[in-house]
This record gives sequence, structure tokens and C-alpha cells, in this order.
Amino acid sequence: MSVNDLLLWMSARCEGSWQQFRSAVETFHVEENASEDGESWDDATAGDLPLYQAIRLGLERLAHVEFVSGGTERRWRVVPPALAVNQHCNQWVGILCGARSPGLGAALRERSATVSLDSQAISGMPNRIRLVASDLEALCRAGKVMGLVVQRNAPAALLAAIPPVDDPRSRFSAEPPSGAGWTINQFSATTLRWERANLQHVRRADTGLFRFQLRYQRFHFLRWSGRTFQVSVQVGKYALLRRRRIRRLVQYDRARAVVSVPVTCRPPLLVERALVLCSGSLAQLDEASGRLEYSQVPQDIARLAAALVCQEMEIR
Amino acid sequence: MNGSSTFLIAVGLIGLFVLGVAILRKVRRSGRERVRGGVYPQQCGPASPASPQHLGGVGASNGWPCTTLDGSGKRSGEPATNESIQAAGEATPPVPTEPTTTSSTAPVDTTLPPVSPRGELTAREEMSVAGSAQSENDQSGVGPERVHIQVVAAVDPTAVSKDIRAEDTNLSASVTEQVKETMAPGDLSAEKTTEDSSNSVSVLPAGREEASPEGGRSEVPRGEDIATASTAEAAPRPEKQSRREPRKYEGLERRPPQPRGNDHHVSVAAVADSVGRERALAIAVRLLFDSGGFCTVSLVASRSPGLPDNVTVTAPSGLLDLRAMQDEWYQDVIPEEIGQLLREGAVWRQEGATGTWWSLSGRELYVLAERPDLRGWVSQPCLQLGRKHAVLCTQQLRSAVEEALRATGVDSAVALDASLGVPAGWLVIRDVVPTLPVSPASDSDILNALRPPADVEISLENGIRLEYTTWLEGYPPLVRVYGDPAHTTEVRIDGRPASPGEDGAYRLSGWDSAGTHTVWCEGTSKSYSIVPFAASWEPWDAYSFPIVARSNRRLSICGPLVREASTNQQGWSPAIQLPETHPVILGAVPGEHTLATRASGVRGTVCLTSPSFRPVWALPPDPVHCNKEITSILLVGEAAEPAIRRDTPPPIGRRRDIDAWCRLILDASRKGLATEPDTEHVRALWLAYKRAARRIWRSRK
Repeated sequence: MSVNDLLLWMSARCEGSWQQFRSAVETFHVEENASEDGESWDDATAGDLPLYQAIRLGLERLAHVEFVSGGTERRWRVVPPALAVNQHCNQWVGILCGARSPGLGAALRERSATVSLDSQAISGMPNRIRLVASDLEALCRAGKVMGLVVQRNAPAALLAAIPPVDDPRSRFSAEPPSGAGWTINQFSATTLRWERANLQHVRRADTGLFRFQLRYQRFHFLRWSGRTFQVSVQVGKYALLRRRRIRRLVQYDRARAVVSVPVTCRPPLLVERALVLCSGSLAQLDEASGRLEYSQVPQDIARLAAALVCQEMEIR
Repeated sequence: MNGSSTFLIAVGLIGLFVLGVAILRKVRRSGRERVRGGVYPQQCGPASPASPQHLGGVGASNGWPCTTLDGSGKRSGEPATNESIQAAGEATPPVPTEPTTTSSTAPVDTTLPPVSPRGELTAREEMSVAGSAQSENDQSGVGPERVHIQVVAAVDPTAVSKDIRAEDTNLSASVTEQVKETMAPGDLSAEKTTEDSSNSVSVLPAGREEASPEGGRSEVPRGEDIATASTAEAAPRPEKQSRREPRKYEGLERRPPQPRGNDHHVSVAAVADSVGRERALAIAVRLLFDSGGFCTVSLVASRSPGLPDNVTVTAPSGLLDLRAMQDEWYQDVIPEEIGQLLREGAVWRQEGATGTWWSLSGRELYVLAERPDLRGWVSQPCLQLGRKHAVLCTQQLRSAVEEALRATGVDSAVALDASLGVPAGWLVIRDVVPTLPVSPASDSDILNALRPPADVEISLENGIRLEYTTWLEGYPPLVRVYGDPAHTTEVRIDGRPASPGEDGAYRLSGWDSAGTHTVWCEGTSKSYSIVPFAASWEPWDAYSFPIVARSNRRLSICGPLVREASTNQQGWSPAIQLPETHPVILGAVPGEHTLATRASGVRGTVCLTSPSFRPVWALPPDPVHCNKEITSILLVGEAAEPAIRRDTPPPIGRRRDIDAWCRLILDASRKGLATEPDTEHVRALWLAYKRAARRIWRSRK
């Protein structure tokens, strides 16, 4: 059993609860593979096993499934079968996202001769299935014949729909919990690590990112110009880095078409999704440098992504 | 006071005492009734108009079942022609039951128990005192020692009806002892009815009856007694006959199931159809022991969702009132001649309704065990290894039962007879703990219930299970069987022998086809269903950002898909992307134009829009002031001709849109912007748009 079976099960079910997802992960004996910094989730499910979080985030980053949070309950819903099209070298590549079904498999095998199929098994994620064609219209037609929703220039479209991390639309006003028992940490823009803090630090800080933890819950609050907002941890980090004028975290290797960021500063989910959809593969950790690498990313996409996280891209 | 006075006073007191006892005896004698319908004779406290006094197994503090009374203190459950004492004291003579023929080897005593010459109570009279008049959940039992006495009393036509009230039944222990002494062994099932009572019957919900004619299904749907073979044809009883005759239990059949022809597996639709057919609910047998070692055998009717709390059923003995004890059970009932009923079976049908009926298949052997949801010992299909049981059997079957129990490793058991409350002609063997599995006889054998199967487990593994026992077609479960190898040699799927593969999973042709399948092994079975993939999906706005703060226009994201949510409300279609230099979109119909947008001002970010029309052209926002050297008119959609309607003028509400549409085209033309692609066909198409815009513009003037 594997993540492929998990995705097929989720496709058949269409949607469900977090508990059902966890049970399915157990049932299908999905093994954890992708490295996870443990900071990419912040809600009532934060205390769950890293395996569940890793699988869930992988599916989100690959645009297969959306996990939505309704208060303390998190639910999931599978994305319709879609083709994320982007250009790579002189080819047009469509990456299959969303639900999968036995019928879709049959349709893929009966595709047009002008479109080639590239299916690759990758550990810890569903098989990466790509349709490749030299003509964009032929690729889009083939996708529509298979019943796929085609999104042209998917990475660019995603980045165009996302506000920057320092934009007010990326945060919402909220007050942190003041009860006892919460463990509070403050993110250091200098060391890129969490340091111990307390409620007084939160109240006194004009600008800062704080993490509140209590058993299985984890929330992040951004102090911005004396006001408090609840944010996702990645948005909060990059917003704080922008305020601290730390802007050289994003690097681009032009020869390899690889974008890299420090492993502790993973991009926000939707930005990361745009980077992942360039290749159809999750980021890889370069242990030597301690950086996450996203491959096959065009330079303009990399630049846009860096701009959204308020970073200046260092081109190498 | 002198000694003589003292002596006289003492004599007087003694005399008063004796007189009191005599009066009491006479009162009880006059209250002698025929007990009918399994109603425990007794009320258990003052009647409350607010709520019936549920005295069932849950309510009474010591758990003894008891008659339930309604607010008026009446008891329900009087059969139409019963002989219960009426409120006015009228009593009808008992109607002797006709002897019935059964398939049992021993003659069945179907006559009524004789009335003692004195007319006293001749059987145990149940008196559940204290606390039982309270609500069902009242656990505070009060009163003296609890003694269950079942009263079988011949009805004295001259007897005055007795309205049994709580205080009357709150007898002292001494009196109860006296009553006990008058009991004749084997007399059972007492019921007292009171004046104008609408008795309700304390019943115990029925347990499941199980007999698999196809080889011992381990669990049958609730309420279905599937005992096969011919049922005992009881002689029709006058005016009380249920429409259905109780079936005769013929024992667990451990034969392996056979295939049922080509359609050996039942489709999902067929399964659904079968559910809609009329099915009998089960009547279980329950055995309760009291602190004194006496036992009570009663019947418990099961209850399915939708059935009311109070149900009146037609039984051979007349009408019975069933009162709910739990969601799945009604309270106990001890019918008259329960010993006979156990042999012959019973069929109850809901009064005034169709489709709901209860069934108990008659037999000479019952296996009882404890249940988590019911007190006491409740009937179940078969002995289970390692578990404590009680066995209820006829006297005639005793030797065979004991021999069968010895084969299971039961070396010591206690046998109870009628002197301890067991129905006449029956025997209770308690403390039965089988330790050895015994292979069942292949044919229907009543003693198969005493042959516990080896611990065979059928496991359905892997595959893609959608829910419960439903797997996705193409991803069926692997069928594996675990247990004693000596007892797992034969495995059948849909009645056909299956063989294990190298991976230990059992397969045969069709085992993974759509539909419902059943795996059988040594009396244990498990079913699974396979359904085709039938899901469908629709995109939705998983993430949504306003274009600007407090703007109605939003950009939404679903997976890799992006759309402008404010305009494209009809369906979910991906937004088209435009370079930030050409955010204006024009359609073929005059007035069709919109401005693409984006969520950030990052340079180089594309603009997005989901227009409600088919886009044709993309223009710069201000054609007049753009740099025509680097700016062109983009063809972004199908090369559609302008759609101008010459016959009717456009609506007034669209004039502004039409004016804007015309102005953009004319400005771009006046600027001299080139088309892209710059082909003759595209240029000609643009020229057509230009002419159309000019014509409309001039017509406005």
C-alpha cells in the first residue's frame, strides 16, 4: 500500500474528516519520507504524528487535496482532476493534480499520440504523472478530452492570486491566548530559530513573531506596528524578516533552475505550491547546505515567488 | 395487674394475631387468579399517573422483572379472552389449552396446573417489592427480601377481584415463606390482573436466534430466526391463533454453503431489496438467578428502530403488552406455559400493524450466556470457548447434553430443576465453560449448539476499503483465514470452495467482482461488498483573496486552479492570464469588456480574469498613451467576428459598456497599434471590429 492508494481512496471518498484521513494513513501503511521541519502546521492537529502532517502537507503542496480548517475541526477535500500546465525548456508540460480514478488511468493510456506520458514513482508522494507536448493547444485539448480542468501557466497564475506576506490580506487581527499553560516562543530573525519568551514579551513587542503551544495546539501571532495578528508561521517569518531587512534568503541557481531557501524558512504553502508545480516534485533537502531546493523553476517564477515573500533573489 | 389479667391479655393478643393471619390468608385466597400472559403478578410501588412504573429488569433495584403499571395502577396485557380477575370481581374460568403435537420426543404437558383444594396459590408468586414502582431507572430498592414467586392460580369464579396495590404486595418475609411452602414445583408464569387494569408486560428483549441452514452464519441480521426445516405444526388454537406458526428449531447446520447458481453473489441492489422484505424480530430466552438460587426463565422481545415504546402483540395466549426496556429490547414477559412455548416456539404479531412480528423457534435446547447489554443469561446460537454459559434443556435431552458438554471439556456443572424455578420438564445446567472445540455434525443437529467451533477468524485485508465492508472495485480485499489449521481446511467464497495462493489469501473466479460476497469457514462467515468507482468532483474556492481591501472582486484558488470569483459565478473555470501590459479584455459582442486583475503589485505578475464572455482581444488600459512600438493588440481567444445586431437598438443599461467597448477599439486603432499575431487574417478581423465600433459610435451621435 502507498500514497497512491491513499489518494485513490481519498478520490473515491471525495471529502472527509481529519480523523478519517489519519485512519486511512494507518490503513494504507503509508511511510513517512519527506523531511518536515515540524513548523508547517499550526492548528488543533499540531500534536498529531509527524507522519500525518507530512503526508497531508505533501498532498497540499502537490495540489491534490485541500485541507480546510473549521475551528477545531480540520477536514479535507480532494481537488478535481486538473492539469497544471507550464513551459519547460521547449516543451509544454502538464502535471496531473487532484483526484485519480481507474477511469482516468485508462484515459491516460488512450491519450492522443501527440502527447507523451511520463509517470514516475516517487517515495512519499503519489506517482508524478506528466503529459508532455510540443504544442500548447494540443496538450490542452488532450487534457480536456480526459476530463481534466486545464490551468495554463499554473505557477504564474497561482502567484498572481497570492498577496505578499506583508500585505494586510495575509493576516487577520486576533488576540493571543492569555491563559496558563501556554508555551511561548519568539522567532529570532537573526538566528532563524525559536527562543523562549513569555506573555510580557508579546505585549511589549512592537514587531515580532510568537508561537503559542499548548499540548496539541499551536498558533502563531505576529506583532506588527503594535498590533497583533494571527498568521501562518511561514507568512509570519518572512514578514518579520522583511521588517528586519533580511532579504537574501532566496537563492536561484540559474544553471540548474533551482530555487533554494533555508530549511527553517520554508515558503508559505501557496507560494510553495507554485514552485512545486514547476516540476511536479516536492522540495528536496540539501543536507550539506541545509536548504530546501525546488527544481525546474523558471527564473521569472522564482523571482515572483521571492517578491511575494519580500525577498531579493540571489542569482548564482 | 394480677397474673390472670396478664394471661388474658396475652391470650387476646395471640388471638388477634392469629385472626390477622387468617384474614390475610383469606384475602390472598380470594385474590387468587389465573396468571396469564407472562405478566409478573406484581406491582412494585404506588402507581404514578405521571409515568408508568417500569419494573423491568433495569428498573427494579435488584433487577427482578416486574409488572409494569400505568398511572392508574392498571396492568396491561390482558388477552381478549383471558381469565384474569376483572375489576368488578368477575372471573372467567380458565380455558384449557389444547394439547399440541410437537416434534419432540417427549410428551408435552400442556394442561393447566391443577388448583389445590384449598385454592391457594400453587406456584411461586412473584413479589417484587420496593422500588419497582419507581421509574425505570430507580435503583433504590426498598422493602424486604426480594423473592420471585410465580403464581399459577386456578381462577375461582367466585373469587373477588383483587386490586393488587403496592401495600398489599409488600409482604413480610414470613408471609412469603408461607407462600413458598404452598407452591407446587414446576408451576410457572403467574400473572395477576387487577381491576380495570391495562397491564403492561415486563418483558425482556429477545436475543438473537441463530441457525444457519447454509452452514452456520456466525451472525444473522437482527431479529431473524433462520432456523430451517419443517416447523412444528401446532394444532390451531381457537380464536387466539397467530397467523404464523412458530418454527421448529432443528439445530445449527454446519454444512458448508453451496453456490446459488450463476448469480452466486448478491448484488447490492438485491441486498437492498431483501432488507425491505418482512422480517421477524427475535425473541430471546433469558435466565435470571436470584440470591436464593432460584431462577426465572422469561422471554425477551427485541426492538428495532422505529418501533414504539409500547407495543401490543397478538400471541397464542392472547394479547401481550410489550414495554420498552432499552432501545433494542422490550421488557421481560413470562408467558403461561413457558415450558411448552420453549419447545414449540412462539410467534407474536404487532396488533394493528403490518409487518412487525416476533418469532421464537421451538427447541429442546437453549444455550445461554451473559451479554453486555442485558442482565442474566440470554440465549445465543452456540457455546463459545472459554466463556461461561448456562444450558437450558429438556429432561429427556439431559444425558445427551451432558455427554456433549463433557466433549467440550466441561467437567463440572450444576444442574437445576423445577424445584428451583426451572420450567417443568426442563433443566438448567449452569457454570458451563467449554474449553475444547468440537467439530459439528454436518447435518442439522440440535446438539451442534453444544459444539463450540474452533477460533476461526476470517480476515479481510488490504485493498481499498471505502467504508465498513465495502471495497473499491479493482482493489478487493485479501481473504485470509486464521485459526486452528485442523479447522480451517475448508474455505468457501460465495458457496464455492476457494484455495489459498502463495500469499495465503483465498481466491476464486469472481471473488473480486462487483457485488456482495460471503466467505465461510467452519461455521464462521464474513461478507464484503465491492462497488465500482463512482465519485465526481467539482472545484470550489478553497482559498480566496480580495483584489484590494474591501473589494468585491476576489481571486480564488483550488489546487492548481485559479479563478476570479466575483464575475464567474455560473461555474468554475480557470481564469485566463494576461500580461500586465494588456489587462483589458474585449469580447465579440459590443459591450463585452472587463479589466483583468491580480492580487499583488509585483512587477511581472500576470493579470487574471474570468470573464462572463468569450474573450477575443487584449488591449492596454490606455491605448492612446501607450508606446505603440512595443505595445500591440493581442488576439487571446477565438478569431470571432464582431456580433452586431442591426435590427434592434441595445438596451439603455448597456450603453456605457458599449461606449467603452467602442472607445477602446477606436483608441487602439487611432493609435495605430499592430495586432499580434500580425497576420493578414488577424488584421482583417481587427478591421472588422474597428468598422463595427465606428458604426455604433456614429449611430449614437
